[in-house]
Amino acid sequence: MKASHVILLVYLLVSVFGAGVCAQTKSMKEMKYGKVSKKDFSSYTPSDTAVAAVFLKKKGITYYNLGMRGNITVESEYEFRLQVLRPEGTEYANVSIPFFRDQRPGYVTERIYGIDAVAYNLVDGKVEETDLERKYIVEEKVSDNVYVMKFSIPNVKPGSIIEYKYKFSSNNPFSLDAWKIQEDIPVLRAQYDLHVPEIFKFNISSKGGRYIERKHSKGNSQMTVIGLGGITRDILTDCYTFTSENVPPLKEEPMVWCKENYRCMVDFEIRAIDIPLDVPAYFRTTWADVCDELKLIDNFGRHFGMRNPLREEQKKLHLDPSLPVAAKAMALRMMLMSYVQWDGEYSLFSDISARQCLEQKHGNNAMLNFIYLSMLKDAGIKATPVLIRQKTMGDLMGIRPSLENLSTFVVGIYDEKNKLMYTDCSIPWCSLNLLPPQLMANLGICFATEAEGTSYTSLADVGRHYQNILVQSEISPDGHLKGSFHATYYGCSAFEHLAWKEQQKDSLNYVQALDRKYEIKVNTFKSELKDGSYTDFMDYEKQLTTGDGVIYFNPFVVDKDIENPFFAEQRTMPIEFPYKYVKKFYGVYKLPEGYEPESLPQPIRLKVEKGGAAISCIVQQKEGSLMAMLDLKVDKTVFPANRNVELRQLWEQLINMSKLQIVLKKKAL
Amino acid sequence: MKPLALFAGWILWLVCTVPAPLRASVANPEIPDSLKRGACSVVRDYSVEFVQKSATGGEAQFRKTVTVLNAEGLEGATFIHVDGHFSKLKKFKGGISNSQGKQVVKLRRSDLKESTLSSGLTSDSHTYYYECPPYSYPFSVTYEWTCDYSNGMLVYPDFYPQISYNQSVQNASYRLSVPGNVDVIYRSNRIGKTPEVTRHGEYKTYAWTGISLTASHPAYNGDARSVVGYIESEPTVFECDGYEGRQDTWQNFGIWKNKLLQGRDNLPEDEKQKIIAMTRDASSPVEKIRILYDYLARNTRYVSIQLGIGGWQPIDAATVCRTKFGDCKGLTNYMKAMLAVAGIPSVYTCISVEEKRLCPHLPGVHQLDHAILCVPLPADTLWLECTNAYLPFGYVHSDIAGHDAMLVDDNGGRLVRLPDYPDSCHRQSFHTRMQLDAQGNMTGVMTHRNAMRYYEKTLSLLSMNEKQRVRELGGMLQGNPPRISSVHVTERKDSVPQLTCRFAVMGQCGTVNGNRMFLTVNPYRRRPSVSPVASHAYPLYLTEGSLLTDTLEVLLPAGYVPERIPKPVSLTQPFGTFISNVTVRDGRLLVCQSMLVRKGTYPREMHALWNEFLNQAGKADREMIVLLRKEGES
Repeated sequence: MKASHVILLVYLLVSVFGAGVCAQTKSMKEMKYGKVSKKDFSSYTPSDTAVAAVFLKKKGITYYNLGMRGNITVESEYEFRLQVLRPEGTEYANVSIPFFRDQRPGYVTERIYGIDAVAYNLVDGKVEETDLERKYIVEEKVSDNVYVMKFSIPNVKPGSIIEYKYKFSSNNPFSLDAWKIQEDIPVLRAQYDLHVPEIFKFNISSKGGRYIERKHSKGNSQMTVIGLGGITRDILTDCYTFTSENVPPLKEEPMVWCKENYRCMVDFEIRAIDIPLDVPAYFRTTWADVCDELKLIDNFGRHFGMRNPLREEQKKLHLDPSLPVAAKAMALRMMLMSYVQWDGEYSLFSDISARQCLEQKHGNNAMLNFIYLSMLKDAGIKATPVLIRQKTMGDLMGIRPSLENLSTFVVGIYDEKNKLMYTDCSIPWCSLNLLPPQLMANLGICFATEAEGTSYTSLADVGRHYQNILVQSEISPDGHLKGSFHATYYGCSAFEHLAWKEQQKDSLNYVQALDRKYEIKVNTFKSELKDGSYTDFMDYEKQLTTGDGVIYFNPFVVDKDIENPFFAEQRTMPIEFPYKYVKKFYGVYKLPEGYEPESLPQPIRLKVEKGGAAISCIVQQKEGSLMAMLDLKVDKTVFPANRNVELRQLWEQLINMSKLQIVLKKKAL
Repeated sequence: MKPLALFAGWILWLVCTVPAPLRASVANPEIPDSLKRGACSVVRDYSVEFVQKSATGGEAQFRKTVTVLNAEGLEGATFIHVDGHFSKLKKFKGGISNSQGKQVVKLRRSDLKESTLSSGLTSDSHTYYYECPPYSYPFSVTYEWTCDYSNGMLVYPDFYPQISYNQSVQNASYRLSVPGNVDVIYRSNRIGKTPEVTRHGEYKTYAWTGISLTASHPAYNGDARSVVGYIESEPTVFECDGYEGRQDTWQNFGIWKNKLLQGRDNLPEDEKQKIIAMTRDASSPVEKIRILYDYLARNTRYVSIQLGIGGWQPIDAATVCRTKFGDCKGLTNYMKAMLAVAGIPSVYTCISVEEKRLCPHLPGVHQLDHAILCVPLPADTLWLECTNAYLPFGYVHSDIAGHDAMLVDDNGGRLVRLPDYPDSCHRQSFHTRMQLDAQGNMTGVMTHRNAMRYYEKTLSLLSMNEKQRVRELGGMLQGNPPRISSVHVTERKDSVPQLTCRFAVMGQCGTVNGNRMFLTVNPYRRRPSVSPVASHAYPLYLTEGSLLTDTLEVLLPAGYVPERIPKPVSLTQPFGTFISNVTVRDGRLLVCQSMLVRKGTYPREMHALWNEFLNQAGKADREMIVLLRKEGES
């Protein structure tokens, strides 16, 4: 990011040096850095004995500073006090602070300095201090322009209190680091003071669903603007204080795409520079602005709207104009797939040209999508990039248009009724409305056009994803089960199944794995991949357990290793399913002559109270046959944490029903 | 025109006049089918040429050309070079060529990415890497680089032509030119050749040439290194950061290592007095050691600092005493110093957590990556893990139990073998006592015991709260875990450590249909996974022995009698036994199962037997128990 030109603008307008700091609130003063008393060692008694350490204090202050040469820097000072409670808590005495440094003139560079740390131990009733030695402060390079400052505080053991502080300086006045309050250990008290000259307007948003006290006042910045004709106007400072108390730890939980979505924090994003006596300059206030900015970025702009690099080849396709849009779009995807493959990377940009991509036969999803968009345009099909943030990176906020928060885009194609269909060229299938789960974001931004502007869309519900198992079999009087087994997977269910198949390395291993999975013996096997679906066709057999004139028979040939993912009693974060799906099993069994089921279970239908997931199970006898049906339907992708128990019960029932045994008994003569 | 230019001109003419198809094959000659089999990339040419110029340094030239056949092979074309205090990357160049042999990308040193990030606090290692971007397959990438070695020649540049099992090697060579008075010792895997040794004046050259390696398969439980070809070599005499030494024998290598320990065991006077005071009233030497080991656990932590010879030399005891942190060497040396103050002699010990057996003819740092402390006592020898002193006193943990180690003292190095435990000591059990109602619901208590290696694996339960424990225990159970509550964890922290979890369980255990209830013999046990067919090319490696025992006592609902009870299962194989027994007596169902796995290396033909063994055990777990409600009972 190049900051120099904007800094220059401010330099010309600001005449008085120095940055003012508002008066600090008194509430943190009782925990003054460097003043640890004997009493402090017993000030915290954890209710949870498993807590490794606790942040007694997290304090930060950020202010703007005008240097002697007119350069504006953002200065931050951080202070932390922790108590180590358990042996594993000593790891908090090893501190790593990442920072960015681009040494080219005019580029963003950050600096960590003023590091100080002390360990306090209570020895024979007295507080003993151990200072951090300079030689244990090291700087390491992580990758291009990314560095980390590390230090290890000595003499730290369970019971120790540690304090450390450092200063952080950045030459980029338009970017403020988020104030991350929540940690993976409890935080008793956190306070952040932010003093921003009022010329910098930031969007401030709180995340994490916990209460953060926010105060705002005006202070003196000691800066003055000189306008035309010598008119002067003082610049005030916006002073914010964010205070939080007793913030619980944020721990990993399964079935969460991105933990950061739930972290308690305050986020800042520049909205505008509003210099008194001048016209305010807004920063990307709308998604249309973001789209305009994207067009100006070479790695996006030069590909967007490019000439179709496969136009000659496309002509030879002789695409029938009367075909439905979906059919034409699929034919073009098929053609593109024959020229180029996805290289495994998701991106918003492409460093290489379409020509290079076609030459290499590989490209990231952005490049492939750019080519596809150009092909659709040539074919007269209306399509648009749909900008998204991958789910693994956290949610995109519609109210906060920002280029930084975007990570890639998919292709939206308008059908005859102007309804959007979606695809991404990372998918090796020609199927519309099929996206990898991590691209099925809650919010997508349809790229702005002059005529229509931007619009929002949701990709969370794109496509249908299901698994259908159809079994038709016959049971012989000696308990031998023989028949056909067809399993069809559609959409993301097909992806998952094919990934599992791939793990089995070859078809022999795959068949053996199917034998184990369904507890059957597969005799013949073939598979078919078409129209976004995958089907296994098998002939199978199985010897059922028999007893004294009875045959025990489980009518559900389903995965025997099905697991209940909701075994935890409680959870903190919502439960996120990758996509909505349906799994259906339908079996028809011809019973052996003269046999009948001794009893059949009552039909079962169970659902989560407020909807979103349901199972049903029906077993019926019809003449000499038995029909068995077992369904699981998940039609919501996010459930509140308090639905965990209901989901658990649902899965318990599902697993229990999948083990149902029917007793076939010879009819009495 | 100078002769060299003339020659170059002739080559240019030849290239330009050769017909196109032939030119392609010159640029990218055929890869034999045998090398394509199972390969995702092929190392076409790899050479390492090292010249030792002094006792402490030299120069090595590397050249590598890899043809990437498909996307999976891309990783095999990555360039990684790590240097530090003892070596520096001097030159680098390279290029990417398409399948016609035309260079499409030229690589310079500025194309390399750099990182100095270390996993600990700091080290002097500096990583250069280049992640080769995908190109139209097949394509080739060539790297040429030169490296300067200085400050010490403890090892020679290693020769790893193959970086993974799915890479084959067409032609590779390794040449070491060393002063005539230096002998080279080495070990190799899959190379199958001895070096040709020639003399040129004052230099001796060890050359391995014409090395070709086929791609292989991942091994089941085997370590990844065992399936690739490599040569590791080192001089018998060396100098490192001013410390001269010999490594022709383990004894001589130990003499050098002992030099690094000299003068590093002094403790401040007040610390000595503290140690004396702490141990004064101890009833025995073992008691003294225990007191100091506990002191180490309560006061120190692991922090890694690897700078220069500090990679092999411990931080002095006084510094560790002051900072209360250190790496394995520093903490071991500190403990040794404390024991010395208490009048207890101990021996600094080098070991590998990766390699169980130390190669007898290649002494040196190649095989050693950890330090522990040996405390010889009249009755027994104690092995102290000072890096994690929270482990039970006297327990030899599973990363080192049964491993070879080098004791270091004034007499030099001496190889010993640490004690190992019988397979049956690594025991994990689930004992469930439950009551079943007529709807198949159960309530009960489960006791989960974990001894030795399983103790280590479940140790984290001690530091968890109830919510975390419920999640952890639920995850250990297969299928439909019961609801878990009231978890109580106890630890037996002695030389045979055990962690016991006792918790309440409830949930549906049986399915009811009509007059019958159906139960599964062992619904919760997770068994080892079968070995994939691809690994059957190698012997069957069972690296961990264990005894898994499960008992289930079920008080049956009134009126239910057994209709079907699975027959007993008893399997006996060289690698293990499995027993499953189900009985019903006086309204109580009793399931007893045990599986003993004997660690070892078994012939590759045994893979099928092993898989069958696991399948049979799994089948016995899933066997069905049928209970019948007697007429007249509700």
